[in-house]
Amino acid sequence: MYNKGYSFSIWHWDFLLLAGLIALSVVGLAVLYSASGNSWPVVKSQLIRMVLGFVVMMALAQLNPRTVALWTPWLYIFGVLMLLAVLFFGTISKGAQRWLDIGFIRFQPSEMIKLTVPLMLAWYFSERSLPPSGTHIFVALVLVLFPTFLIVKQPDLGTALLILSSGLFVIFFAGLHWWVFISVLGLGGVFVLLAIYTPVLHYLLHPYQLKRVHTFLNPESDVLGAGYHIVQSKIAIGSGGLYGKGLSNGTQSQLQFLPERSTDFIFAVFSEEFGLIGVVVLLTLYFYIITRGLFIAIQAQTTFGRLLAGSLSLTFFIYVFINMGMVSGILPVVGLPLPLLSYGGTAIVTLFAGFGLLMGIHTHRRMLG
Amino acid sequence: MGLGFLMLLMRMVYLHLMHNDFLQSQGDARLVRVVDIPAHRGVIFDRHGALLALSTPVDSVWVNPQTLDINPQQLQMLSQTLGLSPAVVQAKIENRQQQKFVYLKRHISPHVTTGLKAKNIIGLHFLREYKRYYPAAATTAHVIGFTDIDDVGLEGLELKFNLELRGIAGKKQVIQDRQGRIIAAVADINAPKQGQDLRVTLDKHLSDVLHHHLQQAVIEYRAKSAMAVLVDNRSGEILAMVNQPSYNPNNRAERVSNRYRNRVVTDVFEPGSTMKPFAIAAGLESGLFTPTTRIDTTPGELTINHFTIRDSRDHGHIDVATVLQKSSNVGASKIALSLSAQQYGSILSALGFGQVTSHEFIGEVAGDLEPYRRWQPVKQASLAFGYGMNTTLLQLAQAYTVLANDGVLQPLHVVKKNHLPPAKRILQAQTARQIRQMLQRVTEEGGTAVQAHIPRYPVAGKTGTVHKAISGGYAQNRYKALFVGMLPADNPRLVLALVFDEPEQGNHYGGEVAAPVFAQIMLDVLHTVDVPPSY
Repeated sequence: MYNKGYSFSIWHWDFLLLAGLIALSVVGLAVLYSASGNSWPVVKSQLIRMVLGFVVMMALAQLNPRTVALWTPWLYIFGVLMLLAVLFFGTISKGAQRWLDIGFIRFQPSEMIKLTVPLMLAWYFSERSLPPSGTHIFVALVLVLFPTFLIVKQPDLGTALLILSSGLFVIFFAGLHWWVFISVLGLGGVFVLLAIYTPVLHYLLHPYQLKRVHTFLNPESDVLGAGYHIVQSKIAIGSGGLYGKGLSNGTQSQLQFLPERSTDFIFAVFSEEFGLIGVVVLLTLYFYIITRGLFIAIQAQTTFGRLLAGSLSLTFFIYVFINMGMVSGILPVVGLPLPLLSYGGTAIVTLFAGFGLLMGIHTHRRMLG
Repeated sequence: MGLGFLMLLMRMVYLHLMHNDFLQSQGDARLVRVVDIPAHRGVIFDRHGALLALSTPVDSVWVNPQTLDINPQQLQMLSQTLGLSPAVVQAKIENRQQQKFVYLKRHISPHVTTGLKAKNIIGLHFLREYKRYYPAAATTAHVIGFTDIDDVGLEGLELKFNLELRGIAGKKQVIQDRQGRIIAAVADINAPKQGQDLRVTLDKHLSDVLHHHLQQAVIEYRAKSAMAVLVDNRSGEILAMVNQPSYNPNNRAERVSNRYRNRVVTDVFEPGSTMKPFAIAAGLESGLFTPTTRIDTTPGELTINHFTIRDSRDHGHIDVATVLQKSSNVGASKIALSLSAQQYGSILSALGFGQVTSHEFIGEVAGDLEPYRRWQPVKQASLAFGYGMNTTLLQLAQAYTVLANDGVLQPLHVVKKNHLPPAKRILQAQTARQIRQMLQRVTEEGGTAVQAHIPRYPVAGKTGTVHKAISGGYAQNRYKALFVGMLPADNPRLVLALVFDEPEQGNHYGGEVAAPVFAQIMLDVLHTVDVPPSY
């Protein structure tokens, strides 16, 4: 049975995952073509990034998880140092300090951290006995929260959330009792609610973040201002109906009523043009990819591989869930792209890199008799 | 994870299917708009089809200060195109930062704005409007009137026939993008209704002739104002109607009431001696008089109830024709007094005195003629030489067309008609002819208006010189000089009536002031109007 997956792989590729990713990329390019107002240059630059991502994925798939584990602590330290560098020397763009300008290239260290945090935690727990002791969990939390804090300061709430959840997933898979996990989540929720309804939030959050929270709670209160994004996006989604309006035929998106239509809100374009049926197909694709990732986690032979695969897959889910939730108005707007559909730089390469690691974990299993 | 996907799916089902209608309509509300399809105002033509008023498409430039996205070079170009300084344009925009619609400049010729449109500046918009243009300018201005900046009639025929002339904008549904640019037309809701054209009886060229001569004369005599109307007596069509002072309707600054008032229909005056032919006509109609009946006008004055009527000198025993030629007040009064009030009064009423003449003009007044039942002898006598009553120049001209038409009244009008309004006989043909023969003597040697004489075209006409009525009586040294004439006297085609108000230079008599202008005008008119000479 475990041989079956192995027989599918040539050069350590996992074809089942690969098929899903290619299908999603094709859908992504098609929607981007429409969302960008039928602009080939935009589609082309996205395609180039995807190809680059594929190359990175293929390369990482060649790595034996054991080798990766050896490098992990150094990668983590490097990543955190980069984040500190951003804090002190970073380039400011659109009110946020996320970029590191090193002469010939602009680099976003938080992208790298997306991978190094789950790697680090997986490495940390794989070296220790499971289930983890309280001390170990505490250390793990520090390892997660420190970079998370640095990213919140940038500020980049969406990425911070992703990194936090990727770390928490590792801790969860390491064997935390599910009720501990649930109660931590519950406490977090209570804290967030308290923060929203008390002035505490005014000190903790950036003004734009505060506005987003209020807007989330009642988008119609300020249709022309802060609520505009979410109201327009709901309208675009709902206008799609069951069958959608067809590619490049969405009125809300094509006539520029929908903001950020080729980046964070691309799902609204997709929904308007492909309708509920398209949405079901898209959700199925994502579900398939995530399930495949979790399957790889279950099949993993080492603790490091299992923890990493589980965390990466669930983080991918969080990615999808937060973006779709925000675009459809069940979560506040946090500025996260929809993986493989949204137009945008480094995030795509990071995503593929993660899938490369997943493939590596699956295809470097030892043959068992 | 499964739970998460289920949540997303339920949300999508809700938005796509359950909430779909509301969201769809909200979506449409953002992009489907109803916009006007502009309709243009009807054209006004003269009798030969020359344009007197037309609407040309123009662009009005406006901005939405909230979406305006303009760089300094574009601002420079914009200001240059609009003929405004960049500072002024900037101030207009900045002062209304909270508004969404600010006119920068209205009514710019489209060829000027082409370059600006090509720039596609966000927030800068163009509104298609129509500007009224009057090619004949001052010459027909008093009749045609003008419109306001929104092309609604304000004066003259533009106001009177506003409902017919105006276009009714249609409506169409369009799809707009977020910047308000129209992407596609969806459907016409209702088609635009273009304004109807209006054809008038005026002759642009003849109006120009009258305007020119009247303007010259006003300058020459230093008159306060003047007016003139030229009529084709056989059809009742008004060929020209001009006033001084005048105005150019294309220039809004000149639109002041004193200049655009059409005095021919709005101002009344005592017609003076120009009424004498009608007193004599009534006398002839009664059968009591013939042109040769002799009347004793000695001693040049007549006293009725302590009121004395005077002639300029004692004319002695003269016949009826001479009463007219010499313009004897005493003679005319005696003829009037020998008739019953009803005999005389009903003829004056039938001639149109005291009634609105055409109902086609804005502000046209009826004048003032007391009903004959209330006449005292003094009133009846003074009416014979045109005091104690008011008339407009148009009324007076119409009464003279009855004499020209062998006693038939063909109502005057200015809007061209397919069928002439019904004519009405007022006087016997013979009476009218006899009066014309007498009036012809006015412009001949020994008459009061020899200067109205035109070679080969006998002129029948009558002068008038009236003291201006002021509060409490008459001004001693302020006059109105009148002349009403027609030609050719044996078979008249044209009637021209003129009034000069307070001529100061030289003589103030109608025969000295108005009669020569009559001749000048008619000489020019006869260049283009096909009237055969009598000899």
